[in-house]
Amino acid sequence: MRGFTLLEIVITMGIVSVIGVLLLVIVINSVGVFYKQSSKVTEGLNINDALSQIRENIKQSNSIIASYTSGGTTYTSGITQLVFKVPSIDSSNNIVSNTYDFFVFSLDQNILRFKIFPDAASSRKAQDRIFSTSVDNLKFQYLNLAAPPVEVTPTAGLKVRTTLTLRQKNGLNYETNTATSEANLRNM
Amino acid sequence: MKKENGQILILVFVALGVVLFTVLFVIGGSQIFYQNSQYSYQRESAASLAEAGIDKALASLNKTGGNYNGESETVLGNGSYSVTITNKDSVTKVLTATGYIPNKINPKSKRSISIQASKGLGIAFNYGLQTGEGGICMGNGAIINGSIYSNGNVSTGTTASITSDVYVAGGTQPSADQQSDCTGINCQDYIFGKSVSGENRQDVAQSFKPSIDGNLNKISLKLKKTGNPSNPTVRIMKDASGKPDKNNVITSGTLSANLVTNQYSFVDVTFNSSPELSANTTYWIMIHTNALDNSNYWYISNDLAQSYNGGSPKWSSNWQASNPVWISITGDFGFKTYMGGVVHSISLGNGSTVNGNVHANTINGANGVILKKDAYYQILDPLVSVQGTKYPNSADSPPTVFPVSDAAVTEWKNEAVAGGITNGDVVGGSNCTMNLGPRKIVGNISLSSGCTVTVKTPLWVTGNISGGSPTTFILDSSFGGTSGPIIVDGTTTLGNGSDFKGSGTPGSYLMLFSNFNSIAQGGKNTCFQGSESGQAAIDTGNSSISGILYAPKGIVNLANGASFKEITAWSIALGNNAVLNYDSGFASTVFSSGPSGSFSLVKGTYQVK
Repeated sequence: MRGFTLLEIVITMGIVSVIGVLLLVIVINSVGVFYKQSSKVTEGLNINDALSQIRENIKQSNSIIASYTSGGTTYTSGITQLVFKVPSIDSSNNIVSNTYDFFVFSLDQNILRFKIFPDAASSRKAQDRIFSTSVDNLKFQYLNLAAPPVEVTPTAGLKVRTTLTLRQKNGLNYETNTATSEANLRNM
Repeated sequence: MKKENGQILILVFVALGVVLFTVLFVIGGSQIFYQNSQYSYQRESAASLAEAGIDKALASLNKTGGNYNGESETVLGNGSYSVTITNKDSVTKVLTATGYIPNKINPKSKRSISIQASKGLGIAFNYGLQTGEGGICMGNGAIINGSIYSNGNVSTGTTASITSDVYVAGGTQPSADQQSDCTGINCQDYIFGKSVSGENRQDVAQSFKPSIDGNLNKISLKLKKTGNPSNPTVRIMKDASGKPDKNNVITSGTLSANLVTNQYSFVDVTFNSSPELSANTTYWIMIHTNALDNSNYWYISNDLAQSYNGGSPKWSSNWQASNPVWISITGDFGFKTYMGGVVHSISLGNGSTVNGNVHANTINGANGVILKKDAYYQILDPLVSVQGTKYPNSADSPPTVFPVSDAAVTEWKNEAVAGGITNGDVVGGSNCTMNLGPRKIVGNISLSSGCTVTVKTPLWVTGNISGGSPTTFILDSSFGGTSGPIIVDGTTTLGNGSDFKGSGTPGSYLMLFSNFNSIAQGGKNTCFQGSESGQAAIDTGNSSISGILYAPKGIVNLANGASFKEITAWSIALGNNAVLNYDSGFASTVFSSGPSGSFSLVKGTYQVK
């Protein structure tokens, strides 16, 4: 019965420690890289999804509205709010003539909200959705169809340019991502 | 001492477990994000394919004269699309295109877009009342639930009410200051908005020199088109060494493509402002098309005799290039320029109110006159109470053009002739019912009381229309959601209770279009009541009119208590307590068209499904 010598134990522990530290560094780096990359991807997905939704709804718009009031709150088209009307639909998802639902995109602190106020005759459901909770900046620009387009008042706009900047914490720093999208009012 | 082998192995297993978990977690997360990204990308791609399908379907309908029935699956890029077409009514088709990624059989993503396309002419009546230089005269208590745009004076009686904005434009001289036209074989087409013989003619321009100092209020261009090109932008620019100065755009406006047909006519263009031009100084009219398109492009009349001595035409592929190249063209384009100068005003009677903004050079008032919003003016009567903001020294609003072009009327007349010609008067006895059109009637229509006439338009009457109390014209139900015109060269006089009704489908209207020229008959602003006002083109008595009354050179008279929805005329006289209730559907009216018409998107029908 012969045990380990002290030297063997010290060498073994040293090797185990070195391996352990290396493993720990790998684990910490892996987790760090994972969080950073997933944060970037999430922000990218958010910004793409939000702009895609905005673009799709603007395309269906008949016109941009100066303001719309509901429940004591007035939404006014401007730099950070977009109010427009879209033809109402019936239960078969067909357009109802001369009847409109009102759509609002608005920036509420860091939250990008999307609301639908349907007409009483519309089968479209009322909505109050949040597209992003990490908005750093939102800018709507109202353009005509000249080439190059010229900025006009909201109600004269035939095209809307949306610039969205998201910002969220990524490790010790903040990650910022900006994207721009344009859409014509196809029903104007 | 107990032997304990394998301790280090346990440590290694724990470490390996941690590493494995982290690696799997990272791979799993990445997979989810990859799938989400792919989903977003595929969703957008499918929507783009659906858009492509719609564009293809519209182009195919026009290329085949309507004999296109869709397609089950067409591969395009990394996906495919299908198109279905159904008939909504005789002139309107419903186009639904669906985009698939990667294919229709096993789609990972699919999006559908639906539009309605009509073989018709889209005309926007944006104002409840729109008048030419003859202006508007409203009786006591008259109510306009809508907006007004007048190129002449506006005058109201007592307690009149207007619920929306009022624009009174600055006056335009009746004759052109500069003009160029052609005759006979010297009239040649000049094509632009298309590549011709290697020339990318996206921009064309014509220079001119005003004969007087003054404001340019409008221009006219002699144009026709092929297909459905989009609205070009027209700019007035200063001259720089014999070409348009890209850094000196004085004003700009939009040429409404709807006013141009496949036959030449002078089409008016007004601008965002009325710039002041100097006499004998060279300026340029520059037309910028949005694209070079071999199917949808423009023609401008070119006078090879070069009769105009004040300027010349040029073309360019890019007017905004760092050093734009402008190439000379032999000839002179067909154009007219109109300089302004006449002061126009709105005069509001005692107790009258305007709920919208008022834009006029001079705002005259009386006791109790209230403007509930802003006032834009140069002279304001102190009796007028402005509850909004006052904007003194405001420039006059530019005159606006009428929404129906002469070329469109010519096209309607040709379609009426194609439907057949009736020589002689059409007469109907008491309570008659009859069907008319599409056709040309060389004569009058004379109807006794209580007659109902169902019309297939266009119906062209070279004489007069007269009817008792009441007389009703109804657009045939086969017209569905489209509208149609009755064109009358003479006068129209109907008794009380008469009406012009659409097909019964929302958005369908019957328009009475009068060519009668009250101006030539000594017509004056209609506030000169009685014999001085000249003969009216349309007089419908005390009626409730649900259609459109249109008389670009005529006076429209409505009796006391009449109600109506849309009037566009050279001059309008409303009786006491007459009421206008503007319908938002007038802003997107589609008139049915004959064989020469092309399919185009019906505004308000684009839908992502």
